[in-house]
Amino acid sequence: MNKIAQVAAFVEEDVSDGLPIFPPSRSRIRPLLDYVQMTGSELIGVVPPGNGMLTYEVAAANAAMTGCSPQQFRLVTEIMKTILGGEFNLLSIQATTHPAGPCILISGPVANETGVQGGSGCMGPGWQANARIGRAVRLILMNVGDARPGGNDMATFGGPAKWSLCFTDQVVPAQNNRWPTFAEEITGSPDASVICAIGGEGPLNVNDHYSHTASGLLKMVAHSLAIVGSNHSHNPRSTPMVVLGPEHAAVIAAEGFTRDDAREFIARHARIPLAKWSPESRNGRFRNRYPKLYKHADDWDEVPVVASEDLIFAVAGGPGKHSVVIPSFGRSVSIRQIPPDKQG
Amino acid sequence: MSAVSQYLDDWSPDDLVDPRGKKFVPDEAEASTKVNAWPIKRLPRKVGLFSNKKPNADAMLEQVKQCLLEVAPHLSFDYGSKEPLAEDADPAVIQRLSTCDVVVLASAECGGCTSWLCRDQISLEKLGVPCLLIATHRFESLARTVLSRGGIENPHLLVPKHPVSGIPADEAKNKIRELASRILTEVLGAESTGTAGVKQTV
Repeated sequence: MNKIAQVAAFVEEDVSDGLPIFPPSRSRIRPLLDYVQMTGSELIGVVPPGNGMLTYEVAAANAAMTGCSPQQFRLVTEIMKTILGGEFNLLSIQATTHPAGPCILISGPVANETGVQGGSGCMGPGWQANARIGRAVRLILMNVGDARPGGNDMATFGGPAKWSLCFTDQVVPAQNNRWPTFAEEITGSPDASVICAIGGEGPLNVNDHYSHTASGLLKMVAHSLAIVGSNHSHNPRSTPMVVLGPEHAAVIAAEGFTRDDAREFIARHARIPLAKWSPESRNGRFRNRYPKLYKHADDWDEVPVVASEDLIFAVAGGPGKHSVVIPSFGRSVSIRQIPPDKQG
Repeated sequence: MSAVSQYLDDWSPDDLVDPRGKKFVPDEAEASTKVNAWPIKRLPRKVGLFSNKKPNADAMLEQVKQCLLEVAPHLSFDYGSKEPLAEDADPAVIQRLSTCDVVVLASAECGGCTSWLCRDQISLEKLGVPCLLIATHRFESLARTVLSRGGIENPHLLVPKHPVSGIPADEAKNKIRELASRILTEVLGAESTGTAGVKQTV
């Protein structure tokens, strides 16, 4: 069999996501392992639902298939540690009928060091690091976790964001009210890097070219979060993500709102009247399930869709009067500080 | 073509690393990882009904109960549930249900609920409790995969035709009713002989 036929065989054996891959040869994998100072046999974790063993060598093979640099490979391993832990609930995200996949926010200096973009078009396509890192994670989930469509990945539709949804965030340099990055907010240090992953859908756009006040913009975001078909609208303690565009964020920060204020405002206004659900859903999801809360509620009583402490909040993107909401699977979140790069 | 060839020239076919990894085998000896709580040890007196609160899960379990009571009125039942469905059940509930002779679990008809309900089944069978999982035919394969990875190589499933949610409760009950003889065979080791009695085979 010649080399081209060999590559084709790999794809036919379902080690790809449907797109062409780079052959995971030892000569490609060795530099990746050398960079993280691993022999390859060390175990990162067991990936459900197939319970494949993710060693550094196997991770490197998948990262090599998408063309990751050694620095990017290190980030792939850190992302896998993140989504294998916390409350990410990888078993559900892998198998669910919902179109959820890892939505990966890489916040802090490591993003710049690895080429991860947080400006225009940061959610794709076109940025190499965003695409290669996210896609490597997807290949691991499919190859090691055995989550393939129609098999153990039971997604009714799936979605393009499952290929890769990986980006970084920005500070908001508003006068007298600088908003830090997600990593700085979590750690208190501008030098720390953090990965935050949620099980989410693709981004849902919030177009607002009219509002020029914090309350106006945040209401638009909140109401875009409050939609009846989203998992996060009825699953308790859901963890959707709001990513404000920098122009929207600058207006909000300029009015003196902190990140906490913005989160709280969104949570207070992201509500759905019971009447918006079908009678069957209204009763099944709320009245029967939470009788103390909803047994005597009338149809126009409102259901809050997210608690402020559960709302993942970031600023990213380029110029334009847009923000996005990333609907979540439900409760699915893991946040992990990335250790310093030994080679850095 | 030159762009492609640069990626093809630095490896040989024998030089590729399989990106799929090996399947995980727990540290314990291979034999101890196998879970096999079946068969039921005695004529059942207490049946557990475990619901993940998926729409119509309770209705189907109620129908299971009715089917059983028609031929085995001596049975008692213990009910357990969990919320949210995409998490492990409360260990206290699992422990309580472990006093049952057999537990029927419902329902597995989405990816998250199937995989997590299978984990509950594994927990119960590790405690020696035979379990019968209600999984629709569309989710049978996923259920078998997760159960197999958890050590249950020959799981006992009750497989109604998909879907069992998003339909009226009576329709879901009918789908279980159609499987009555299977329920009796699995839970009682009996054939459906009407109310005349139970043909004991265990």
